[in-house]
Amino acid sequence: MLVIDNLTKRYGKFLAVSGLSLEIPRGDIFGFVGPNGAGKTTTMKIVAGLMQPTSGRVLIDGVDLSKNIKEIRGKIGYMPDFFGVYDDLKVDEYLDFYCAAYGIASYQRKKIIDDLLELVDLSDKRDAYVDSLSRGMKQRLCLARSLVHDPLLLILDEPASGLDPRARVEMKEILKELKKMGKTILISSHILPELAELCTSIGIIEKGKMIVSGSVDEIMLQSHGTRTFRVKVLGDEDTAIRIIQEQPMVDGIIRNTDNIEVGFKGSDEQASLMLHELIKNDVHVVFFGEVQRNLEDVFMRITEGVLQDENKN
Amino acid sequence: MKIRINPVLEKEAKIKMRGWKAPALLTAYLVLLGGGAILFFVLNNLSRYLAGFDPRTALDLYTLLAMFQLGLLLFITPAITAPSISGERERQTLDLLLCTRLSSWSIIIGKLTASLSHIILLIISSIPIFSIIFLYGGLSPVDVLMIFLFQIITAVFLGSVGIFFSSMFKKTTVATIMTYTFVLFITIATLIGFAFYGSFTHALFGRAPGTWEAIVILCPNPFIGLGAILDKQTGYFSFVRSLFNMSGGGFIANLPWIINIAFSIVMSAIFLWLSALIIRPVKER
Ligand SMILES: Nc1ncnc2c1ncn2[C@@H]1O[C@H](COP(=O)(O)OP(=O)(O)OP(=O)(O)O)[C@@H](O)[C@H]1O
Ligand SMILES: [Mg+2]
Repeated sequence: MLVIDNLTKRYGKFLAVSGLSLEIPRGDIFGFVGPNGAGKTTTMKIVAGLMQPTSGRVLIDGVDLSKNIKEIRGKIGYMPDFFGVYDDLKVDEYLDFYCAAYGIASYQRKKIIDDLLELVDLSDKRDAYVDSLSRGMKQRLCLARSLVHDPLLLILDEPASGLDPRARVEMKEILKELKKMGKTILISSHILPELAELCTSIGIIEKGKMIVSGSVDEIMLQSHGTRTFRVKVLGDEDTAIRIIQEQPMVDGIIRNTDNIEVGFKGSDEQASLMLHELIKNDVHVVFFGEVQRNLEDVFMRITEGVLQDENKN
Repeated sequence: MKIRINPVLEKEAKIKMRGWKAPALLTAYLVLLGGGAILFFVLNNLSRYLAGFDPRTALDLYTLLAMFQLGLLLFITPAITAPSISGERERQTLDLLLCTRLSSWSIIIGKLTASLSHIILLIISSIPIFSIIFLYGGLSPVDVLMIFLFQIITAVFLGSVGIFFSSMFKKTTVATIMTYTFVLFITIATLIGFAFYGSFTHALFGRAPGTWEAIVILCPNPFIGLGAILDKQTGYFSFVRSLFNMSGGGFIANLPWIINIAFSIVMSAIFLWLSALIIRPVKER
C-alpha cells in the first residue's frame, strides 16, 4: 500500500530525514515512534504530498507520488500534528467544505457527514461552530475531515497529542474502528505503549533514520534478547534459586523482597521445563509468569543505543 | 452538466457573511463615499447648486466620486486579498486545503472571486450615491457602468497582486505591506517617475515626453486610466491628454485607458498563475 524508498529530506544543510525506507501492507497499522525532531512530521508531510523530498521515492497503491500527485491526493487522508479551524463555520459546513474540496457531489455529502459524525461521536455538535469545540472535539473533527473521501491510506500525525487520558482512550477507540474498516494507517506518536496495542508494526526513528522496524514482538525481542520471568514461592527461596540457576538459558537472577526475577533466553517450552523442575523438587510455586516489558524502556534503550554509538564515532 | 460553485468561494462567502468585518467595511465605505458627496455640496455652496440644473455640477460630482471610489478600492483591495493565503497559513488550515483534490488554480481563483465579490458588493452599494448625478442629466448609466467596470478590473489586478504576495510571504503583515507598496508604486511612483523623465527630456531635447513614452511610464497607473475614461466621457481631464502629449481625439486618445486595462488584465493573469505555482511546493503534472 505504502512504500517509502530511501527517502531523504534536507532543510538547507540540515538533514531531517536520511535514507528512510519502510513498507506498509494494505490494512496494516504502522506506528511511527521517535523523540522530538526525529523527522516524523517531515516524513508524513512528504507522504501526504505537501512537501518535496530531496531524494527518494514514495509509492502509494503502486503509484509513484511524484508522478501522479493529483490522483493520489484522493487516496490519502492526512491529519497534521498542528492544525486550525475556520471561525464562523459550523461543524457540518466544515465537513461539507472538505467534501466539496475532494469533489464529492452534494447529494452524497449528507450521508457521509452523518456517518463520520457518528464515528467520531460528534453527532450532537453538528450545528456548533467549529472554533467553539474543545481541543479533543476539534481533533476528532479533523480526523473525520481526513476521512470524507474514504481514503485508502490515513496519515495521522500525533492524533492524540494534547488530549487528556479520557480523550486519548476515545481517540484510540476510533482508531480501532478504522482498523476494523480495513484502512491502512501510518500513525506517529512519542509514546510507544500507546501505539503498541493498536499497531501491527512499529518503526522507531531517531535523527531522521529508521533505527528498528518490525512487529511489536519482534522489536521487543530484538532490543532485549532476554525475557524476564517472575517467580514467587512459599518458604525456601534459596532452593528455588539453586534449581533455577541449574537450568539452561537462564541469564541472571535478581532476588526481590517477595519474588525472584529471572532473565531467560529460552523458548516457552524451556520455560515450562523450568517450572516443572521447580515443582518436581517440592518448591511451592505460587506465581510463575513472564513480565511484560514496558515498551517505554525498550524505546529508551534503543534511542540510548544510538546516542552511545554516536559518541563512539 | 451541473454548475459547481468553487468550494473555496462558497466557504469564504459563508464566513464573510457571518463575521462583523463585512458589514463594518460596507458601512465605513458608504459613510466615506456619501460623506465625500456631502462635502462636495458644502464646499461648492449648496444653495447655488440646488437652485438650478447646472450640468457642470453633475460632472464635477461624478469625477470626484469616481476618483474617490477608485482611491478607496486601492486602499481596500490589498487589505482584503493580502491575508487570503497567508491567513490560512497562519491559522494552520492551509495544509488541510492543499492536501485536498482542489487544484492550485481553483484555490487561487476561489480566493480571488471571494475577495472580488466583496468588492463588487461595495461598488453596487455605491449606486444610490452615484445616481445623484442623474438628477442633473448629462451622463448616462452606461458611463457609470463603464467606470465601474474599469474599477472592477483594477480590483482584479490588485487582488491578484495581493494574492501573489500572500502566497509568497508567510506572514499576512508582510504580504499586506508589500501589496500597499505595490499600489504606491503604480500610482505615485509612476507619476514621480514621469515627472523626472519629463524634466530629463526637457533638459536634453527641449521637449515633453512623447505619447508612447508617456504610455509606457504611466500605463500601470489606474488613476491615469480612469482619468482618460472620465476625459472621454466629460471632456474634463484634458490634462490627461496633455500628459500624453495628444491634442486631437480619435482612437489614439483612447489609448491610455485601453492600454491601462490591457496591462491590468495581463498582469492579473501573470500574478495569478505565479500564485498557483507557488502555493504548492510539490509539482503537479
Ligand atoms: N521548515 C523547516 N525548516 C527547517 N528545519 C525544519 C523545518 N521543519 C522541520 N525542521 C527540522 O527538521 C527536524 C525534524 O522535524 P520534524 O518536525 O519532522 O520532527 P518530528 O519527529 O515530527 O518531531 P516532533 O515529535 O516534535 O513532532 C527538526 O530538527 C526540525 O527542527
Ligand atoms: Mg511532529
